[in-house]
Amino acid sequence: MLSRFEFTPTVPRIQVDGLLRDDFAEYYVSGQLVHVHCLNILISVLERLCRRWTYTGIALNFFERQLVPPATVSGRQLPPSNNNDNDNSDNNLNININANGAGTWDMADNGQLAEYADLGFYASCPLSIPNPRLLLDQAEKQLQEDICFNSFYMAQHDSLLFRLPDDCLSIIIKYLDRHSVMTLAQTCKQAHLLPDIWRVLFMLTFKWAPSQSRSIDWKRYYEQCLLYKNNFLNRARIEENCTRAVQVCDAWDRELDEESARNAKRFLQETNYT
Amino acid sequence: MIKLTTAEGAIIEVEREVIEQSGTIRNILNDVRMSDKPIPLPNVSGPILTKIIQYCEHHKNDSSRRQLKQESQNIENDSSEAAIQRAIEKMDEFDHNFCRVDQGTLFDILLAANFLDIQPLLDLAGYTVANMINGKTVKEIRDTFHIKNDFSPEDEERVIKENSWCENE
Repeated sequence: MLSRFEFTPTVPRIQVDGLLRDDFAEYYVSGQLVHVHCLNILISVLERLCRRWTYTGIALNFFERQLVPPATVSGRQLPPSNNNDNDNSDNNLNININANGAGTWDMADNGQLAEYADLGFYASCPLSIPNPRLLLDQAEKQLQEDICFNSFYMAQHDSLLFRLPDDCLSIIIKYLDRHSVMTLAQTCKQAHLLPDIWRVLFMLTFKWAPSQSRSIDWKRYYEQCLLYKNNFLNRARIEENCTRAVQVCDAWDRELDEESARNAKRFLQETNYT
Repeated sequence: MIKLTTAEGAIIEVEREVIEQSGTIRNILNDVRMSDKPIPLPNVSGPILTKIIQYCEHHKNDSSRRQLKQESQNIENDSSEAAIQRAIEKMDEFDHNFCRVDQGTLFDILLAANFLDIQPLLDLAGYTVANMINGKTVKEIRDTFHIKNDFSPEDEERVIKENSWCENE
């Protein structure tokens, strides 16, 4: 087990609040291998299930068992883990909370695994979609875009389609399928800036909107809601995996053995980690 | 009978019951009550007005016109495939043949239906144009509607990247 706790002073130092009991483990777990949001979710699951836990216990459960990520996330194949120290499949936890157990996968700048980064789990977020009213100030920006819009409106004077008023274009767009809406938006600047493109995309994606007002910056609202939706999916997936992991491990509050504890203490002293 | 003046100045007579499918005409008639004066339609040419009257005559006995209009308004607030599908199913063979015209005529019908406020015709024309877009590539859409690509290479790359982000939702 000791080999799993060989440290180097080059480990990036991350400020973590409340370091009293489990300095070493918290440092190692939250700073090195586990995405801080995943860790928070795991802790919330442990609390909900009334399981005793320590950061050390979490660290030990991760490091003593191979953690195998699921084969796919959102239909995409993930790279295989190289953490093959322990080939006993019974010991494998099919969770991805610590998917890069051996540190072999590239991490995005925000600490998120690159494979998951585009799922949008960038920051903790409230569990509700944003209020569109907060985006009304974007209407001003839209006006600016409309001014630009008029300047290139004439660029499409040969196209009967884009000589139609917005009302008529809205009627056409509402009968397009999702893919075609986006394809149309790629044809020219005028199409790309049509406000209804984003409103229709929003409706096709979410089936419901708190408002149909055109004063909303639908593009920005769509982007935000999509991010929230992805966070929801990501959070649900991680929470499910954490719940499974909590059941698999007997204890989440184990202590380090003496030798590892000495190593940890020395490491913390050498790195002046307080 | 109601008299309508086309963009060219020609006068066309049409039954009140027929043309009252137009919200614009209905409002004018309600405002002016009985009058022999022709109603000017400066945005609608003679051939297009004739086509629209054909459409209105075909649908004048539709008992569910009011319901259709209501459904169409519902679609405005409900882009679900089911709601759109329901509206499409209401279109009969005449409707589908009605829109087998050249692109210029189709857009003129769309504009006239918008001006005259004939919602079912507006939806029919919009649906027909949408069918000319659905399933096509960017280049095919540009070719079909004579759209000039006014994106710079950088802008185009950014838009494609943006779209791929949306596709991944």
